[in-house]
Amino acid sequence: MANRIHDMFEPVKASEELKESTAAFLQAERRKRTAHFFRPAVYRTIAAVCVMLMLLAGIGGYSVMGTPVSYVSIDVNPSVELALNRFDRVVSATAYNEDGEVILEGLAVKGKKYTEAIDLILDSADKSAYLTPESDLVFTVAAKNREKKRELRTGIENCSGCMEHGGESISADIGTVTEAHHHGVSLGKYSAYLKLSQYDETVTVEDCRDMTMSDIHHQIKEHEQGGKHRNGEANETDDGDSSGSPGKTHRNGHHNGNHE
Amino acid sequence: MRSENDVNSAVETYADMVQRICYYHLKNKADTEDIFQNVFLKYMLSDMEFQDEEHKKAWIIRVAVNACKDFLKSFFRQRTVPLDIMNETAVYPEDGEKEVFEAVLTLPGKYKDVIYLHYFEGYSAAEISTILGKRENTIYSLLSRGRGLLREKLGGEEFGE
Repeated sequence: MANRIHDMFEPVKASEELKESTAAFLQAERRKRTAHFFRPAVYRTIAAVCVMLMLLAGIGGYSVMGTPVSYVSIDVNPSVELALNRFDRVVSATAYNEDGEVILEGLAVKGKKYTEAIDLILDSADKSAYLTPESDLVFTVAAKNREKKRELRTGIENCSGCMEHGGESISADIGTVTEAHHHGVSLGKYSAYLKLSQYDETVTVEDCRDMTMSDIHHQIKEHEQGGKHRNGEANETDDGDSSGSPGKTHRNGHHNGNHE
Repeated sequence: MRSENDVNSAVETYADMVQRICYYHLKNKADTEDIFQNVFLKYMLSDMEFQDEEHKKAWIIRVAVNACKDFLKSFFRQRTVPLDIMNETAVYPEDGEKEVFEAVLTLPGKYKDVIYLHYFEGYSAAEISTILGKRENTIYSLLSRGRGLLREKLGGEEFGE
């Protein structure tokens, strides 16, 4: 029986054709696999590097976009301060008193160009009846250098809200921002306080916090008229930046007259 | 991956053996070719280090048997090729013993493996148990039952030993 089974299997053989096709198949597989052996490594490395670069660019971009480098404080009685990134876009808008909160309520200014944001804020202030002919509208700008301050002030003075409502723009030292925030007031109000304190040493930040800008200006004016420190180039702060002259005289002519 | 020479010499040496294993499991030529090529592809890609030629041969047998079983078990195969058509497509070698061939091919797979390995390749039950990963006693009973089934089919007395 062993022989019969053996004989039965004997004629079954792999044909030359099958062997050849197998050799060809194996060679093709070998080529495919050796090629694959290198390619994915290279592609994977390139892909990883690309992802890293994109991540870095994203993180870098995000931090550049999100880091405030200059500040614009808008003070009437409502005090609102805009923090701007290096592209002059609003990173954050902070209200420093209740009136300021009223104005900012419902406004989406984050990410907007500062001039656009100012227009929106002035519009809102106007609607809430904070902008009366008697009130003083002051923009206080702090930036890292003089050119930037000038550029921002020019932008503010030329924006439609400012044209419409009038107002003045002054510059402040970037370091003043930290001091102002430390006292919990806006840059604009703190700058005004510094100015007033030159004449009246008894005045405190707390006193100024609850005063409107026109109240403060009124007091400054009184001191100036007192002839003690007649100083035409008012409004400049302790940074020595001499660009304190009022930017706009549309509405507050009575007040600005004193400054000029 | 094994060198081209290594693979080619394995194909040359074991082609007939793999072809027989595929053949008694699958019976038709087209499927045989796929499995045949895959067995040698596995050999080419394997990192297995063989102690000697016998070890290599045993490994190839096992891979071939498993490849055939996997193929027969596969869902696709079960759904697409009815058994009777498979039987029809079986091709018998012209100069072989058709009767014996038919009897062996219609045995269940587990008997075919031991019958082939014992009667054609000349392995002992102990060796078959190592190759197929089964207990030696199981191989003995598979051999004896396989012989019994062949005797029934062929009706001859010569399968008695």
